[in-house]
Amino acid sequence: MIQVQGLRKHYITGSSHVSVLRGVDLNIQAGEAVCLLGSSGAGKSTLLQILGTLDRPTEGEVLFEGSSLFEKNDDQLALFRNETMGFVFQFHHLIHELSALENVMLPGLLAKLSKEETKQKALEWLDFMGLAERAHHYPNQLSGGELQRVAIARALIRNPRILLADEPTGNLDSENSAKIQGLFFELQKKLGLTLIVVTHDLQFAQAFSKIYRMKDGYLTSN
Amino acid sequence: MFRDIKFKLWLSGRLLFNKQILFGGSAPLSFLGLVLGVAALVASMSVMRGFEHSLKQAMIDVTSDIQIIKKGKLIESWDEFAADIRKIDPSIQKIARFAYTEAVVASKGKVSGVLIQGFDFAQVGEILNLNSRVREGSLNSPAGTIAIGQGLAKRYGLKINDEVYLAVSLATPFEEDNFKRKANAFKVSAILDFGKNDWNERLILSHLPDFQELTQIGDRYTGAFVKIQDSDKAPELSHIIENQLGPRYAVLNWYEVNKNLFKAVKYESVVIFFVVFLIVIVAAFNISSTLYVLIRQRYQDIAILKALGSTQANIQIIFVMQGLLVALLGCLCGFFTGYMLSQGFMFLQTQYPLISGSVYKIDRIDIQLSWVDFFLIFIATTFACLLATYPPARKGSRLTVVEGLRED
Repeated sequence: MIQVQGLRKHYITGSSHVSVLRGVDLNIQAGEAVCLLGSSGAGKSTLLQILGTLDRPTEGEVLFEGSSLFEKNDDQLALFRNETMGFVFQFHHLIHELSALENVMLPGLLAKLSKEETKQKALEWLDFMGLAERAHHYPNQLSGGELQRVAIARALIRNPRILLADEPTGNLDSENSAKIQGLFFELQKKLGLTLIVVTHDLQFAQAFSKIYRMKDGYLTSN
Repeated sequence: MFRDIKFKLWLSGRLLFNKQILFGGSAPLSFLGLVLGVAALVASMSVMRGFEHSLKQAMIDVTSDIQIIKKGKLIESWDEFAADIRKIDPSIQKIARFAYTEAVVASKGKVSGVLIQGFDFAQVGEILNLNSRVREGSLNSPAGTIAIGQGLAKRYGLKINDEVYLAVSLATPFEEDNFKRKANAFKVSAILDFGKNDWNERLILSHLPDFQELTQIGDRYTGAFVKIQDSDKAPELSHIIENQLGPRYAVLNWYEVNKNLFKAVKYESVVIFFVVFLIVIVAAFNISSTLYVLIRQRYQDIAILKALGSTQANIQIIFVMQGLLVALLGCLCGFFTGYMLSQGFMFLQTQYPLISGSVYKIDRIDIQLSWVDFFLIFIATTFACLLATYPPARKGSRLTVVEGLRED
């Protein structure tokens, strides 16, 4: 499904030249649950962002079902993300001025779907996450675990084929962390999602079918 | 399409109207600047338009749309003259005869020059709008009474039923350089606000028979008041009448009598609009800088919207719509504040002499709020706000997702 070939990413900050990815090759099959492990600064988040088309590589290619993603322009990539990918971040990144329901509805509304249809789907997802009664609450009225579940509902409302998560449990206590971890695998099985998760939590990583370790910009299979 | 616009408007509104923005930072002050700018525009435009309207209305109320005055000799056969006038154009609705002369008014030991106008009050009532200008007394009065302006009444301390003497000089039939004096006593039956300062000070209205008796002109007249269908066509029609009647008649209309003043008001309105609009432009700059700050605070939200599939153009539109919403609200609040300022000005005019009649011809302005002015102010303000919000919106939309997410 996703083929990564010779991926490199360099940043130039002032006079220094930083290589974050130094030639990454990777194959991810449809429906796989892939974990990217590594210490802070190893380049795992940068790799995830490039896989998620949030950033462009300096060199190399990312093929999605055989076609090169970065031949698309920014608007085409935005549409691709909306239709194909869901994102979950460490710090939920919900919009504070919108209720949980409105936050979940955003990807559908951005896709110009009808408000009624999107609302119905958003309510279903919030119900699935056990947050039906919190639908009209605002982010500052929700707990950390609830916020992350709202973020997951938002990532799933467009029925994506790939779910990308960057340290999704990094900001949660152990109880909520375990719940979210369980939820990811439940969703992967239920929806046949391709799951790509960045984490430094070894216990969480062990549950994945494929684990890759990032170190100094290189990727090794574990 | 409509659904998409509705969504963007909704989102830009939700991102704009929150406690942090409404009650903190420079946003409320920037908005206040815009409101004051719009209010100043509304107030100044309504004063200028009111000035023009008050002057025009005074002219039409007191001197009719068109006045025809015979030069030299007086008009002798009214019916024939009136029939000739009516034939000129079908838009002529009504005509009424009048006569006038310079005179001297004497009362309570004071003497000054005045202009007496004599006409049939009932007939002229269909052409002039004098009844609306009566401040005391009534125009429905018997022979031997006169109506005076409020300026003259104040200067002489005259009240209803007070007696005044009107004196005219009459040329003797045998020696043209010799004059004899004729004076009659009249009672004041009405005090009017003629709308123009010099009329309030100098104009006296009398019944036509009284006037003819005082000036001894017999059944003759100076000219005619003419009422036409559309007052704004008076300049055009007066030229037609002038051409038809020839050089023995002077044809005046409400516009040409004060042409320079009306032109000056028009030009001044344009100049004032642009000068006061500078306040709106400064306010728009403030809004622009505020929006830069607000967009800087929204980097994470922009990044998330982009990650969820929003294009650069969508982000730009959402923030430009914020400028549009600010302009709309600023206009609404500004229109209301401007209206209140205008009302305040109207009230203050009744309490204090704000306008010098000797300088501006009128000593009171009826504020005129015009939809055309509202529309122009709205368009200009919206355009200024959209221009001002475009640069920050463009900057925000160009932010990359990775840059935005780094703002943790």
